[in-house]
Amino acid sequence: MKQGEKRYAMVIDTTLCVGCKDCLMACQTENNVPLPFFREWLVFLTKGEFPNLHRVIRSERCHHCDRAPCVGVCPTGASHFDEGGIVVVDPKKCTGCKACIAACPYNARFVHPEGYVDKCSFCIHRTSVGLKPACVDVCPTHCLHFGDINDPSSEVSKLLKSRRWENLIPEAGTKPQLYFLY
Amino acid sequence: MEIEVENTFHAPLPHAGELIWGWEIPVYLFLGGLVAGMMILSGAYFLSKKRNELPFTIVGGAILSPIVLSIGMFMLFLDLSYKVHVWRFYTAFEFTSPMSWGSWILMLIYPVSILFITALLFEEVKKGGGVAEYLTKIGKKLEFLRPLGDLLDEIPPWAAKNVNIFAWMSIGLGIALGAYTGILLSSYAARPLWNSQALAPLFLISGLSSAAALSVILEKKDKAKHEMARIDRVFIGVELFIIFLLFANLAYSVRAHQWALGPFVGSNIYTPLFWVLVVGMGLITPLFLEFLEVRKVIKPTIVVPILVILGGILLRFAFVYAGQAVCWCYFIYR
Repeated sequence: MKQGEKRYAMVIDTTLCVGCKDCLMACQTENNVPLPFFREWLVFLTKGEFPNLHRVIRSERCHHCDRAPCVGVCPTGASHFDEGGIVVVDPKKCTGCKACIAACPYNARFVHPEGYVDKCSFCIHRTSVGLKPACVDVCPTHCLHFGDINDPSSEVSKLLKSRRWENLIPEAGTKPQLYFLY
Repeated sequence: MEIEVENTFHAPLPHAGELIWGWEIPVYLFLGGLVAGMMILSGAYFLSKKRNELPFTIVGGAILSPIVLSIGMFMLFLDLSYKVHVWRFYTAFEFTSPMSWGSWILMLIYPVSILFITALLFEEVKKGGGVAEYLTKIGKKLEFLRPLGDLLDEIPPWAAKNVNIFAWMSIGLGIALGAYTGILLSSYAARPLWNSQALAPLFLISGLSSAAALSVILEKKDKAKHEMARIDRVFIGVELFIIFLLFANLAYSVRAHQWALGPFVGSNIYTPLFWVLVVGMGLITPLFLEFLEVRKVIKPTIVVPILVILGGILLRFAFVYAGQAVCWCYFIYR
């Protein structure tokens, strides 16, 4: 990551999420994702041992990794980094070889019925004109935050400075850009 | 999509039920390995001047290589989910993508292979005999190519003059192809069972072993059969050693890799597939039978080479399918 460049990331506040699935509905309709396929998903996780149980609800999607293995293994350059480090698939270049699906440690990708490989794009068609991703826009509890973590004054940077957060499986070595607040 | 996850490893995962690669990929990996083996054996035995002792291994292997490779590439084509974009492989070269390297290696093999075959057949024609007459007949049918001019007349002698270069290139490209079929799988850190570079030599040696077994079946002379069975024993021994290294590699590694061995040591279909059919039937049984054949306890049959080839196919199926059963994402939901 170069200093001074935009680096988009998503910060997800797991303490606010109620599991309403609005983000999923927004994603399916905004990006015309045909069922039963999905670009994002909800995880309901029960942690701890009885009787000290607590529930974690997470809204998950592509992690838009800084060192995305899916971009490295793509033989045609269809998987590429776009503005702000967003990992995007260009359906015009995709052959459907599925190398990127095998390379993704988060299982975020799937084969779209039209043949190309599809996944979350951080709604790049919206973010490139200054809007927020559809899921972030509709979240009724404001648990999803989107912005540039290279900009110290951005909402996401402030949240990461003031709150305890973690990435999912950072040991996979891909530098994921979804940050979960606890 | 909503996913209920409890603290268990058997939790449903995003997109986990979807198989990434089906039967086409293991079949391609086997055929690619077989071609690699045939190219290496053909080039190596040609260079060691065994032309008369091993006619199939040298000439037949060289001729079969591009044909079998084309069948393998058709399997790859069948696997693509966006088939009309297949040409995109050849409008790009991505340095970090093993698949991109592989698709260009496949393209390099055709011209080298065809020039090597041309050189071998040109010498065959000069020698005369049955094969020469047959080739002259084919040549007459190709008279319609005459307008292409003198070029067609000049290529065969030029290829024959440089035949050693093409034999060496055949060996080099064979090693590249055989190793690439393993690297194709081993470059995915997300699938820890595949993520060991031991797969590259394993698939290369397995390909050599299958090619030697095919020669045992198709060579006519007993001496030639014996020679190919002799080197096949070495290949099988090395293959068993690499499988041991692969398991040691994963077992002594971090937790993701230890888990990756799960499909091969657990109570699921891959455990008997691998240990009984691949290791037992495809490696140890032929090794033992060949040992008995050398001691002249039993007569050589085509049972041994057929077991070796079946073992080679099932080895790819076991790794391609079992590798997809374990993913890094299991760690998220622990």
